[in-house]
Amino acid sequence: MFLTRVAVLVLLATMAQAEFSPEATGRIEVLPESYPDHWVMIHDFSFDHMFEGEVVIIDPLADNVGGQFKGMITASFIASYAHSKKRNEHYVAETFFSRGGRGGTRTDVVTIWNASTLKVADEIVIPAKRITGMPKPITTGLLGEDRFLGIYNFTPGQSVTIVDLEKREVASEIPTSGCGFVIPNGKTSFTSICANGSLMTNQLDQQGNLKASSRTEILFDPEADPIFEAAAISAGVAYFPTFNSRVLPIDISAEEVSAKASWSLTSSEDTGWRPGGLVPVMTDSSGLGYFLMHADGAEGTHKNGGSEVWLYDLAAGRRLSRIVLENWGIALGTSGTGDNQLMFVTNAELGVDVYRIPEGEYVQTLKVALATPFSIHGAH
Amino acid sequence: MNLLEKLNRFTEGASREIARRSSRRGFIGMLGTALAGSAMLPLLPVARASSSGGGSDVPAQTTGIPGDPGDPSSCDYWRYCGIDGFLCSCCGGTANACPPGTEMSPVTWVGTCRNPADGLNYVISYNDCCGKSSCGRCLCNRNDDDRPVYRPSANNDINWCVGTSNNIYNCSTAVLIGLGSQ
Repeated sequence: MFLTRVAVLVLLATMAQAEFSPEATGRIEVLPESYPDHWVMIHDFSFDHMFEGEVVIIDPLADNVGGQFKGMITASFIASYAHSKKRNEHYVAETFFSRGGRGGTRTDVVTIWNASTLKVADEIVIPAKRITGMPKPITTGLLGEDRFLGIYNFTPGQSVTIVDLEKREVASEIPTSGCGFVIPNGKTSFTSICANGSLMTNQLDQQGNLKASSRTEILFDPEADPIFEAAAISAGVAYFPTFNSRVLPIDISAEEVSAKASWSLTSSEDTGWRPGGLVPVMTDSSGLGYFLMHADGAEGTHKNGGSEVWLYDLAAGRRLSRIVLENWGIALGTSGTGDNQLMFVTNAELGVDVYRIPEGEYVQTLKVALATPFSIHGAH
Repeated sequence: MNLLEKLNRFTEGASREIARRSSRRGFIGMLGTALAGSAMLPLLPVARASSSGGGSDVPAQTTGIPGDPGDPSSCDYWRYCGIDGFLCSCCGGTANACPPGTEMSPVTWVGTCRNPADGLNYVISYNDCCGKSSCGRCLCNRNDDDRPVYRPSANNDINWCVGTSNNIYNCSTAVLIGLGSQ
């Protein structure tokens, strides 16, 4: 009997030993080489703590925090962000001060992050003059099939720094006096919006230096009905909404930009509806345009956001549907391709709501808590 | 002394002082390039909610000046019709003064707000206070007269901590600098 008991205990101990294998320490997750199209990069500017900004990579269809939060990169002092799917890299134009929150020497850099490992692949020191302020989608722009990154500067002198992403160095600084922003156009050119309502286009040579510069005539009234600093870009045309609900299409397919006939977002039945918000307009991967709209628009309501998103066939200037939002929205984003497309709306409580598009079906509000998620970039 | 009289005396005195120190061309040039403003932060509904009492924990204040009604620690205060940022009144400063140890931006944008007490429009200079990290209290965003960033002299999205020792944004003021067109 005693021997039997001993035999059983030995057997159990052996089994337990066989089933237990210690876990290795030092494991670090890696993201896929190419993110699924429906993933998003959400730039949290962290306005209460501006040196603690971050860009969080999120799977918006997962149903819990662990599944949604895939990883993050840092983005110091109201940074600007761009992602190149082609190069599998994230770019953060950011600012550091040698004495942190009390100043010291300012250093601006473009930090290049490997999109799979989320490790710093490189750092390029740029002139310490990049604009800081509320996020605008066209503060930076990838040019020349992602060979160059343009960064808008404001000191208040205006210029654009061109970074060569292959050579990993600053290529040039292009003066843009009276004009701001970086809207990629043609093959290796960018367009800036000028204070008088015209557009300036600068063409770059193969080394990223200025080759030619031109300006259009005045295309809009920047005081009475200005265009937003955001556009729905589709099939080589940038569709800029105006404060008073018009749309100004700018052909950016060629080195020289040109304006097309403007059209209205509203009809006589929609009087008072206007676009508004931090990012009031977005395009999906099919080229449809989404405009964040509010009723009772008036002077000073252009950043209010809206209760609805209106969906347009941009080329035809025709509204396809009105999506009534689950919550009041202040900024838009999209992701995905084919029949798996999503729209993101930063809501007034600073949560991020997810919708299926083009139907506009509400999916969920992200479980991942973010402080100020104002800028949403689709992985597509 | 009511607000208008106070403002007239202030602008008269300031103009004399500036004229004494600089040439006219210099003064006009300074005005032209130093078009004034304030910085950051969005979302009307959220900003108003977070700054109008709830959440800010800042007791109600008054300017103490006849004809200047309202609570400068509240986003609804009349001077803030185009402000975008943390109210300096909640950060150790006032509506027209920076908190201790910060530096007021010399460059910014200007807008116009109507004073409900006398019904007159006043020109407001939304100077930012700089040199320490975000105050984080009483976020407020209103956008009368605001125009896009490509019109800097009329924009409140820009971090106007430029021309200062460093560019770190702390909070925003709303300084009365003149009478507007009526």
